[in-house]
Amino acid sequence: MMMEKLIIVGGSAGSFKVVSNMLAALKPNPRFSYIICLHRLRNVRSGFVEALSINSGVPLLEPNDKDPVKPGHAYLAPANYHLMPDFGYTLSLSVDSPVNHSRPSIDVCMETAAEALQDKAIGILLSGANSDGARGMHKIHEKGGLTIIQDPEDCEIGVMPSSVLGLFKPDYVLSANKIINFICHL
Amino acid sequence: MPEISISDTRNLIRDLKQAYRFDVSRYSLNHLRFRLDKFLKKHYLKYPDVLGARIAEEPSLFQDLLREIETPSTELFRDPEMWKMLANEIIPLLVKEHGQVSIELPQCVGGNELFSLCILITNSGFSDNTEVKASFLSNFSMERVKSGSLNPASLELGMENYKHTGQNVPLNRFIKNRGGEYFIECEALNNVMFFIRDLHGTIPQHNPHLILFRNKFMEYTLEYSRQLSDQLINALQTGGFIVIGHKEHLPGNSPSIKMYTKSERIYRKTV
Repeated sequence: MMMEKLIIVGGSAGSFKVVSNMLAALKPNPRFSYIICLHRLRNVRSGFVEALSINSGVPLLEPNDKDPVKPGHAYLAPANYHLMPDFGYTLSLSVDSPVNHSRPSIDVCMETAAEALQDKAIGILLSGANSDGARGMHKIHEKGGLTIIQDPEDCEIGVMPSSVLGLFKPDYVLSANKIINFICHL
Repeated sequence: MPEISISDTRNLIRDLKQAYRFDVSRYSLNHLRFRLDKFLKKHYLKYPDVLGARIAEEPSLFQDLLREIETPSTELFRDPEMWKMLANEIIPLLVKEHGQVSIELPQCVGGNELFSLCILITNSGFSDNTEVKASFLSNFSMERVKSGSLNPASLELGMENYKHTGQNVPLNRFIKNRGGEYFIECEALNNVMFFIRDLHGTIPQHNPHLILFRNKFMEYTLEYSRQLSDQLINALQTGGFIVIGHKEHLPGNSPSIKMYTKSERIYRKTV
């Protein structure tokens, strides 16, 4: 079965627990693949993917450059690299300059996904303390993809999803639990 | 973030090929668009559809594009474990086996990779046993790196990395502040041979024992990466090493190359 949608989840401060719970709730489904793009320390390579993998319901990998996107798998953006979903369902990495002081940058990841996958991209933006991700979500929206933000009131730090509201009206504004429930029933 | 469309990018590839015989189709579309967008913003160019025509008319703009299109190196001593291994194992082994060791850094850009290597060589006392060659696509980048100029934005992270390389000499010894700008000064850097070379279609003039080519394959198409990989491996001396980024695959399937350290993507040429 071909993958139907690529779900890109972005987050920063206050998002780790939500992502961890989300991965735990997911069941392998070849219709979907997932990209997790979180702000993380640039000089710490190990520990993050291992911690998130413990309870994950789907295989979680830190991809190498030009790895293919496998249906039903989740991919975590590696430390100190931008992650760009490419044409033909591969993942490109880049060491280009940080964007919004971030590498990986959620904007870079979502914008390239939107350009490559058009309406097959779904953007989810969680808790965070800067505006990275807002433009990427906008691009997904412009290309016909679905956009969901965590309700700023539900976030530990709501700056990131609030930045989306400053740009456009996303399809859904939901609490963390409702986002998890939503993607589990897609 | 790329604002330039895919069709604009394709048009530019065509225009540059016609005007300068410079083939940017070797770069993957995502990477190319990322850099072109940066270039457009830098020059306040609002219309990506006429970018190719503008560059074709202005050679100076083309020179600047060459600078922007190259892969940057991010900070000093990125991936400290790799540098530790180079300092403690690889370079001493090569010096022991060959006496005089040739090291090459093709497509050098920001200088951090070269500076890190030179600091390690200086610290280890191998300055007289090593010959370092650094090639560049653009003259501007080469002159900047020659001067030892450091990007202050990544300095803090570089200093943090250095702590994990196991070096005893403080990094501050090699960093000088001149008029508010930071520069690297070390013995090995003075001996580096700098030159301009586009790897595309170039026949290597010499055979290095060690090639540092980290995080560079990722900017190219898979097809071009394979060609480049073959070219670099062919140039490498038997028993020599090639180091790529820890998140890269060595493209191609050369039987003469064996994995030496998986975690740091260090490969050795065996035959």
